Amino acid sequence: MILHTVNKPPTHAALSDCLAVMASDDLMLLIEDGVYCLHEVSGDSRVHVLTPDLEARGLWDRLPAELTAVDYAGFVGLCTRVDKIKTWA
Amino acid sequence: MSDRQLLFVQSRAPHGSLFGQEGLDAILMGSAFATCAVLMHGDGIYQLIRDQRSSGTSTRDYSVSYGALGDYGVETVFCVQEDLTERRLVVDDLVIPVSVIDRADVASLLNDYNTILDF
Repeated sequence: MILHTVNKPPTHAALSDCLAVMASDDLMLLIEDGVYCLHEVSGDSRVHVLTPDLEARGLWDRLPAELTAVDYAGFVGLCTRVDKIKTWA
Repeated sequence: MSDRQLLFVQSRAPHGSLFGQEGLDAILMGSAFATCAVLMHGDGIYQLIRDQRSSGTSTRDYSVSYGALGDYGVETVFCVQEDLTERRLVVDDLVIPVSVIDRADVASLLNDYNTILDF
C-alpha cells in the first residue's frame, strides 16, 4: 500500500501520471499546489487533502464531500498507514 | 510618462513559488514609469481567489495587494474566460474586478503592448 503525494496543479502531468499507476487500495494526498486538483479527483474516496494548503489558496469551502481533509498530524498518520510513499511533483 | 506600455503576464499559482509575489512587486514598480496592464493567464488566475488564509503555511496572502493596483494607475487586469471556466471559477470569486476576454483575443492583447514581462 502506497501513499501518493501530488503537489502540482492539474495543468501539470503529476496528477494524471499518478492516477495512471495508482492501485485501488492506495491513498493519495494533495499538498501545496496539488490541492488545485480537488475537482479532478472529486468522487475518489482514496484522496485526502492537506487543510492548511487548501486554506492558503482560498479553497477551504470547495472540498468535495467524498474527499477527506487532513491536517499536518493527519499527514503523519497517513504516512504510518502505508508501506511507502511516492511523490509526484 | 513615456509611451512605453508594459503588459505583465502572471501565469502561475500563488504559494507554490514566489513568481506571483515578485511579479506583483514588479507591476507596482513598473507603474511608476510606464503604462501598465496585467493579464492573469492560466494558473495565474488562482492568485486572485478571495479568502486565502495562509496562517497554516509559510507563505503570505498577497492577493489583497492587487486591490492597490488602481491607486498605482494600473487600471486594467485581464483574465481569460476559458481559464475561469476550466477552474470552476467566476468573477465573483476574485478579489478585484477584472476584464474578461476570450482566449481567442489573447493574441491581439499581446500585440497591443510593446513590452511583455512574464512571471
